Amino acid sequence: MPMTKEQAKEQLKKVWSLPKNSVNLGTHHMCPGCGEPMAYRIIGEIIEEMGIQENLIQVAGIGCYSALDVMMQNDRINALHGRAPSVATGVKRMLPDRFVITIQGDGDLVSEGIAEAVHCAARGENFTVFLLNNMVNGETGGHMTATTMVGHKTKSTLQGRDAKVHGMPIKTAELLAQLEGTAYSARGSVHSPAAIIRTKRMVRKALHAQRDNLGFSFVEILTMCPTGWFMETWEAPQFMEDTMTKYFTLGEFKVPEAVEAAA
Amino acid sequence: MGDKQLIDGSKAIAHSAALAGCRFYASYPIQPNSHLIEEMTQELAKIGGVTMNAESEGEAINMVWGAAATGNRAMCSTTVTGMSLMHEAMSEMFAAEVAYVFVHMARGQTEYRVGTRGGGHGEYRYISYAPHTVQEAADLTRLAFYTADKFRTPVMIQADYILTHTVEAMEFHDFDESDLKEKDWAIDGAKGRVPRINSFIRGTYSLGDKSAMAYGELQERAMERIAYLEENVPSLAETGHLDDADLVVISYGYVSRFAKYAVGLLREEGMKIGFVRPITMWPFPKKEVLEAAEKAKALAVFELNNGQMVDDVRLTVLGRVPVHFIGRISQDDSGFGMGKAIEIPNLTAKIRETYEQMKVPA
Ligand SMILES: Cc1ncc(C[n+]2csc(CCOP(=O)(O)OP(=O)(O)O)c2C)c(N)n1
Ligand code: SF4
Ligand SMILES: [Mg+2]
Repeated sequence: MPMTKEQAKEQLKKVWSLPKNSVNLGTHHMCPGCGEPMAYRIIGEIIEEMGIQENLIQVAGIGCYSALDVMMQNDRINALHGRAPSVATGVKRMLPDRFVITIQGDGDLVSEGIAEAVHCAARGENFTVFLLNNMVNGETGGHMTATTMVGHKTKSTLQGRDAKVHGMPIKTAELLAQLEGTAYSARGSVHSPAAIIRTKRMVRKALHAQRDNLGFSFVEILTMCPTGWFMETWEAPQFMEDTMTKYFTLGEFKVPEAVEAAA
Repeated sequence: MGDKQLIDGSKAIAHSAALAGCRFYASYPIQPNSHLIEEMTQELAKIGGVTMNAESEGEAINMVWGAAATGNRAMCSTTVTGMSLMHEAMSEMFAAEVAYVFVHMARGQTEYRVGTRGGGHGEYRYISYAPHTVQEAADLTRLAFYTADKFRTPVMIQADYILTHTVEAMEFHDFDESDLKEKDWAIDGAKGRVPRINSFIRGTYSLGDKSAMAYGELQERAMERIAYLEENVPSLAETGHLDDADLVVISYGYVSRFAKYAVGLLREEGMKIGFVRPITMWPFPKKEVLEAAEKAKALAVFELNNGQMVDDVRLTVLGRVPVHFIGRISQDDSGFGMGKAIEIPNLTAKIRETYEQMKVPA
């Protein structure tokens, strides 16, 4: 006798489902091919997996991703440009038993706010900073930031970033890994399924480090910005595979034993 | 409480903050603010609060934003250049409806304007109290925390170099806050409720509230809040001899003690001089200043700057009587407000001169 639909459903083992509580997967107004919603979703999925969405405060930076704020189903403070780590410090010091995260862009965290991030890491503040690095101030229309690669064209470097004029970009994950207060520092990406799976593990480790009170945790996530890069949507992931990840290498730069053991 | 003690202005503010249940304080060393940092560190340690010697003024004020947004009482302080650095956040913290107390530990009085108008962007005002004694510093600190929570808005205390280092007899008083409501705006993790968002643009709102406002509307909303505060926050002032005064001296903060003393000396000589001491710098005590303007022939503003409060006095009396500026920028080497201008012979001479000129029929 053929199975009924219900019986068939029961026999299926659930291996994956859309996150229900932590992420709202409704429509957003980002450009087609933008990588930032993927980064948000990865973070949201781990929050859901850990069951901490009602015990978490997000401090958001200012960039295109600020418009994605409705995706996250948790308490939030919208901080000023670059200042999220300081705001997060105040929150975490007052509510040490809550999870605190910041989500910031490269313009926000690296250009405008690197001092805040460095000091928070040095102080070993027990929260997690997520940097969405797309090498541009996407929101202002695609201008150079402190992470724009040499030779990369932006609205303010139409001929490509010239090291003689603009200097060299900052590799934030490596920089923060050097500080003693940093418990975990890694760089992932959302340009391919393999990269996404790997990045999810990094996000998990970072939040586990916070759960276990190990200190500052940091994950830089490379995201596509086809609009800011003057590219077609399908060209951006390939550019990241061929070029961007060759300079901003993916991987973990600091993993304490406790984090590794917990993962 | 109730025991007389001999302490300085910073200690009075710090201990009062602790009594008010302040849980978080962040600042960055700069004179004459540094002494308050030392006192706050000790006072908050006693009650299990957190003091952050931040790595910059920008960090300090943003930390206070985060701490205060959780519904905990928080305080910040700085002066001069620190004031400029902090204003990026301070101006937005008004829009974000963050309740916290700010101590403006000024050098002299050159920062009346920044202390009442701010130095940032957009439409905002702070409720602002200017204590003139150590006792009042303690009392107004309690009032400041209460008012901040009551109106969910930043409140400033205008202190200064002399006050921070002056040791006086004072006592800590009880303060009734029983009418304050529960903080249904605290950002503390959305346990069993709709998530809340605290935003530099819109204050605190619930996730999903789609009544997004355009920039112009937001600025209008800020103006409505400012008008509401101006009407509903009680303005305070001390007055003397307004019944018979021909000339009324207006002065605020520690410096007003010198002005009041000089007025007393001149009255002994038979001169009809009164005084008004604004205690709230904003909302400005218009009622008392208008009362002075109704009876007196002229007003004289004494402050240690080039005439900043004069603007508020003139905007209050709207030409009813002449408003003279008899202050002077502080001439001491440090600019901390201890120069010759506040020495009594100089001050009495200045008031006498204004009084006598006023008496000469035109
Ligand atoms: C103090 C300040 N300066 C400048 C801006 C304008 N601004 C808004 S978003 C942005 C860039 C954001 O870049 P990034 O953080 O990389 O985010 P993206 O837009 O690339 O996602 C800038 C410069 C601002 N909001 N505040
Ligand atoms: S400009 Fe770039 S970062 Fe912004 S939404 Fe478009 S693709 Fe995304
Ligand atoms: Mg960017």
